[in-house]
Amino acid sequence: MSWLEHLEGELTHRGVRGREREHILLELRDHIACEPGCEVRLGDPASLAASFAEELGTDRVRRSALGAFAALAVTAVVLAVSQLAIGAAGGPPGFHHGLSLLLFVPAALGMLVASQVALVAGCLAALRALRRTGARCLCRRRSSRCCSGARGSP
Amino acid sequence: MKADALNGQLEPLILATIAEEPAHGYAIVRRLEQRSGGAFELAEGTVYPALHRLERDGLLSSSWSLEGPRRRRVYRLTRAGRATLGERRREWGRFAKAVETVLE
Repeated sequence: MSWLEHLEGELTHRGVRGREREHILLELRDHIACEPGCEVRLGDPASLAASFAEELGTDRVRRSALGAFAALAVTAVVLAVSQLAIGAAGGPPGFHHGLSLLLFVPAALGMLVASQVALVAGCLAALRALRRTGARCLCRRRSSRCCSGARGSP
Repeated sequence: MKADALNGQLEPLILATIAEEPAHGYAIVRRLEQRSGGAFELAEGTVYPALHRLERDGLLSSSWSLEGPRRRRVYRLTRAGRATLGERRREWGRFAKAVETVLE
């Protein structure tokens, strides 16, 4: 197995897929093409893949947080419009109304759907943030173990 | 010099390397090696995640260029990157002066 294939496998294993993975491999393929045989100096593929996964994980958490924020903002707008629409229709109508029912049904649906979207986006963002916190804690534990080992050595 | 000694310094070193002219990954690694006189024992691959991080932070921008049959990602310094480099140079100057004073 070549160094690049090893890196590709490690990236996939750590959840770096699709275009992101292709770009990383393209860059490193170019590096190796510049100086064939320099793979050893590039370092361990597993460590390198872990560094990339860490970087891209930060990106994803950031995007997820922004997505959740956008979903909440859209929900707020939809709720405001819904309230105005219901108000303009003369309050929540009975089901016998003609025009007011036409306004009420999409407004009520919007209120329900938008809040669901915001809830799911918020939950996904929180889940990614929690996963990321877990990864960071692991790194801290590892580094503190290294520090304590260093102190203990003569 | 061990890679550990470079903790926190790799980013400004990369910024300084690209400040003169845009470069692709391999050229950045070679410039780092030449300008340091080969002093850093650095796994060359570690430069790439750092490049991605600097780009994410808006200090670098990149574009793909076609050189012969190869596609290359060329990095250049942004205005924010230039400002950060200036700041890090001043910080390093103060730090190095302080360490030198204590060591002497």
